[in-house]
Amino acid sequence: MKTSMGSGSTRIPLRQQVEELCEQSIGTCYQCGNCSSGCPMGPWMDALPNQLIRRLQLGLEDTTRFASPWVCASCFACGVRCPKGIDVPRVMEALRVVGLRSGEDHIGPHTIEKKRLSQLPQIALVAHMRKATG
Amino acid sequence: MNNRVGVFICHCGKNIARTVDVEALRKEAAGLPGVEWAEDDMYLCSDPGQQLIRERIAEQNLDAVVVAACSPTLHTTTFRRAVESAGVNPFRLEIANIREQCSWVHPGTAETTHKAAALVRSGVEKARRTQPLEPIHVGLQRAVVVIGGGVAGIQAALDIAEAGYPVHLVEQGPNLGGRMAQLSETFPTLDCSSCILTPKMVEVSHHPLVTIHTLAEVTDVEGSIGNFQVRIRQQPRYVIAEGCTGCGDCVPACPQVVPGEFDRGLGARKAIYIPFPQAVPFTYTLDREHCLNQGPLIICDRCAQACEPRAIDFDQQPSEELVEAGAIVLATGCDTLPLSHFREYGHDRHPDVIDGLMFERLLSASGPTHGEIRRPSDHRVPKSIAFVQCAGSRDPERGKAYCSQICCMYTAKHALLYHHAVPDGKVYIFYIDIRAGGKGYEEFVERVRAEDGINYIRGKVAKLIPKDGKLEVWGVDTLLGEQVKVEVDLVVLATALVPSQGIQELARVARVAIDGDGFLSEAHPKLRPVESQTRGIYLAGTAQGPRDISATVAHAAGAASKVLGLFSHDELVEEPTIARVNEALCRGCSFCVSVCPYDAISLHEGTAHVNETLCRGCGACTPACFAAALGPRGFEDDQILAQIRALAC
Amino acid sequence: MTSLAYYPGCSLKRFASGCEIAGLEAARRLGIELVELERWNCCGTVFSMSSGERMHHLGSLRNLVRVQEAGYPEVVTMCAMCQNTLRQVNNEVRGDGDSLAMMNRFMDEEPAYRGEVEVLHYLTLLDRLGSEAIAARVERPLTGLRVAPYYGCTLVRPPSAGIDDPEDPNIMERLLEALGAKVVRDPMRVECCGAYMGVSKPGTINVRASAIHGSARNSGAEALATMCPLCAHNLDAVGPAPDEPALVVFYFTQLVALALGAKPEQCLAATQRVDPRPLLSTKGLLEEPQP
Repeated sequence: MKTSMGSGSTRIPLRQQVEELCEQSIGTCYQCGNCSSGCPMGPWMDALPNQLIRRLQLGLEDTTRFASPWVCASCFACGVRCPKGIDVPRVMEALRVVGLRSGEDHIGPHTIEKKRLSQLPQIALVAHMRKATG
Repeated sequence: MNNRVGVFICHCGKNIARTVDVEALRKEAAGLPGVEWAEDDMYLCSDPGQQLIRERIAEQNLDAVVVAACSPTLHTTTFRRAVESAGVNPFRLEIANIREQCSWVHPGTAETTHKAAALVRSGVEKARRTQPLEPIHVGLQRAVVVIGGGVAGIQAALDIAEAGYPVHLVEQGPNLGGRMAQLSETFPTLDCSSCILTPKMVEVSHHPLVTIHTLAEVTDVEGSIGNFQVRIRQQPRYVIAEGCTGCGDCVPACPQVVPGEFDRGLGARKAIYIPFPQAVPFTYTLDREHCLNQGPLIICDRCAQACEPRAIDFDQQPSEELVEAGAIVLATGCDTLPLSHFREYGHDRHPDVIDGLMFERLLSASGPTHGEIRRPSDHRVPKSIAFVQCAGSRDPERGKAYCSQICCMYTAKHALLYHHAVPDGKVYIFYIDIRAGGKGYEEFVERVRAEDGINYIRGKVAKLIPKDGKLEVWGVDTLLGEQVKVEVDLVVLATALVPSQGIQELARVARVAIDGDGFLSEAHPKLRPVESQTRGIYLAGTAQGPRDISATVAHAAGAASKVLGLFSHDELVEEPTIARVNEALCRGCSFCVSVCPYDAISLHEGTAHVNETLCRGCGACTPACFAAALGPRGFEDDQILAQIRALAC
Repeated sequence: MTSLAYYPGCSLKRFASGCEIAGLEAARRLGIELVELERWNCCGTVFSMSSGERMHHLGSLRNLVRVQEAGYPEVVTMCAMCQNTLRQVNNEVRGDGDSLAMMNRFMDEEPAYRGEVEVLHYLTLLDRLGSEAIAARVERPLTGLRVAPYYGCTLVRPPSAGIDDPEDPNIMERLLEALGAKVVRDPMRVECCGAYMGVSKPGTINVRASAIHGSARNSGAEALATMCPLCAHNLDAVGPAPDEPALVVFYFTQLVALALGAKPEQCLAATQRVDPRPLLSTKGLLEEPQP
């Protein structure tokens, strides 16, 4: 007897995963860009927060390829200023969690020079490890 | 109980006859007690159908009629007119709704006809017991109080006065003009605002039927449609209006300098002042709050000394006047969110962060800079300006959820006028969406964009950082996907429109509803946009919601036409089916007063009293009355009980 | 003397010890004994914001259980990040009975947390005493010292875990005035220093620090005052680009202790890269207070 598997993907769509993890409604965003205007880490991002949300709105699964969530400093400024009440830091966190669940860490002790490692305060190291490792 | 009842059953084409056995129904109706005649017809609402009813009334000497047809909301008026013209009191007509409540919703079995018969039976039981009722005639005071002296109030007052009715125009401030008087030029035509407003102000002030009350507020409204009593409280001006020639000799004499409200604090005035050169009435006002004379003791009388006609009167007192009016127009206008609301834009701490109305004053030839655009901090001409749209609008989280409707247009206008005044100046307009829905509006924005080359940047501004005498604007170009930082000399916030202060108190006094944002509620958003939910009180302009000048004028003209429609009747004719008090039974417990949604019941000498024009006959008071002393006419207990019994068998 | 439970957190026992030493001394001088919790552990450093990562809240929750055990209604923190993480975890379990029950099941070795502890930041504690009461205890007014409070992120955001308005806080300004300092209201005072991104992108911190120092300097400040060990590290130890001037960075507690008359050695942290002594000396603030 032959069992034929369905051809459809069993993966949960990215937007749904993110919405469940961050408990925010992505569709609420009207793309004013306020989150991006005030983002202190914007200059180092490859896609601004509003662009990541736009990609999620369109259901683009490759949104996880951007480095921005790993550049986000979780400063909460975007969340405070969002006119639609979207907690944008939670959206970034959800994107990080999705990335980490794929098994890839974005920082590790081996990625930092020894000399710097000894100079960095534990508060910075632990915080970054918490955000960027699974 | 002894009424001779006729029953008329409508086929409604096939609408009823498809599922109801009309002939069986007719036969059953004919056999009911009290029924003298039963007949069916293809379309009772048609002229021949109505004629049939009229003929049978005469032939059979009927004194009550049951029409078994469609919903009473459709044809009550039609059939009332038909029976009335045949001599039957219109309140002796009953409608049994065998279409919406029966034929349309049931499958056409025997039970469908059975239910139709029950509905007819119930109607017959009511008809047998109906009493003739006469409509209530109420006199009508053909005068109007218009509250608010901006362009909406002025327009409404003029339209009504021109039709021949007296108007009391009540304005809180010292002069007419409202927001429109503060504007420089108007979009999309670039007409000078005061040039088109001043003639209207002059006209209304000279109109023999318009009484203008400035520095006045409405503190109480009694009565109802047709007969309001409006209490107007007049604050003292401390300048005798008849005496003041408007020469202005008092102004240089006054030692007290105060930021001018009319110029949004950008300019100064004296404690005795006139806000702008075209002010109507052209009478000076002494602002006692900022005058040196705070108590009864007069320590400075330099203005009085300078006044040749001796028009200054430090002893003026507030006064009150009671005005009778058949209708009220609320035209109380709007305000804008204060700069202090915008903490991310520096509260109101940066002098060079201003709002759109302040920019209007900078553009205005009669403004604090005589029409030269100079920034507040150092009075230099700004070489760059950032306009920030949607400041507080479309911001349910920290501001207002709604679009303020006018900001896209006035910002485009501001950019254009600045560009014309300072051709080498840089302009950045930060916007989310451009909403230019009016006639000629899109073309205007297009001109600003394409011909004047104004820089539109799509993205909301997060923060303003003062830096070396400039302001750093943190924005984004969402179309490029890049952060934008620009340093500018001046920032203009397009702040959200909000209802004017005091609207809640006025709404409470006048018993009109306000919406969640504090604007006055219209009776229906589409079909009754100029009527409040209280009869006889009409809405004009931005008091009801954000709108521009042309929409405001149209709205005000609409309110005026509603008033004139009301005044075209000799008297008000009200439905008689309103609450009636049996004074012998009433114990004066006042429970009915508290349940009445229309404030129609009051207690007079221990007995409930129903205001016939306020009562809508809703019946809320009936179950509230412990003594069974109160109920709507035409819905007597015995009638209702008989109907229920007829349905039950 | 009032006794309150005190949660120090890891940083204050290591590189940010200057903050704690001065803070405890200042509290003592205000008649408040801060009693360090027994068996406290790391708060988790950052709050995990995703619904799938609640396990990370256990660290904070255990500390709240310690407070509950010790019988205190409130716990005081000095570290801005600890207060933020503890507060957010506390808010989450208090606002949601299911979440509280679930977390209590997770830490089955611990007594159940009842959700009754309040997390209180040191600045809020001072603010509660009131400016007048503090001004009355000032022995060495910080006259002439132009200080720009720097809040950073975690003291004011998210609003549910903030100690003041997220865009326009005022609490440090109020306290500084009570201490006699000249308050400089800098527009960058709630903008992020780059936080932990210095670990993987070291260059980012110099850029952020330059912007913050530059703005404060432009606003006329001689020093920055913060309550966050990570901000202090980024603004002082890392600081602006090498060719740019850097202001002195204080922990706010150091300025409080100094004004209340503590000996300068109790107030100055050995870890401060930009030596505060020349500045304090020019203002006469290293001298013994006038009796």
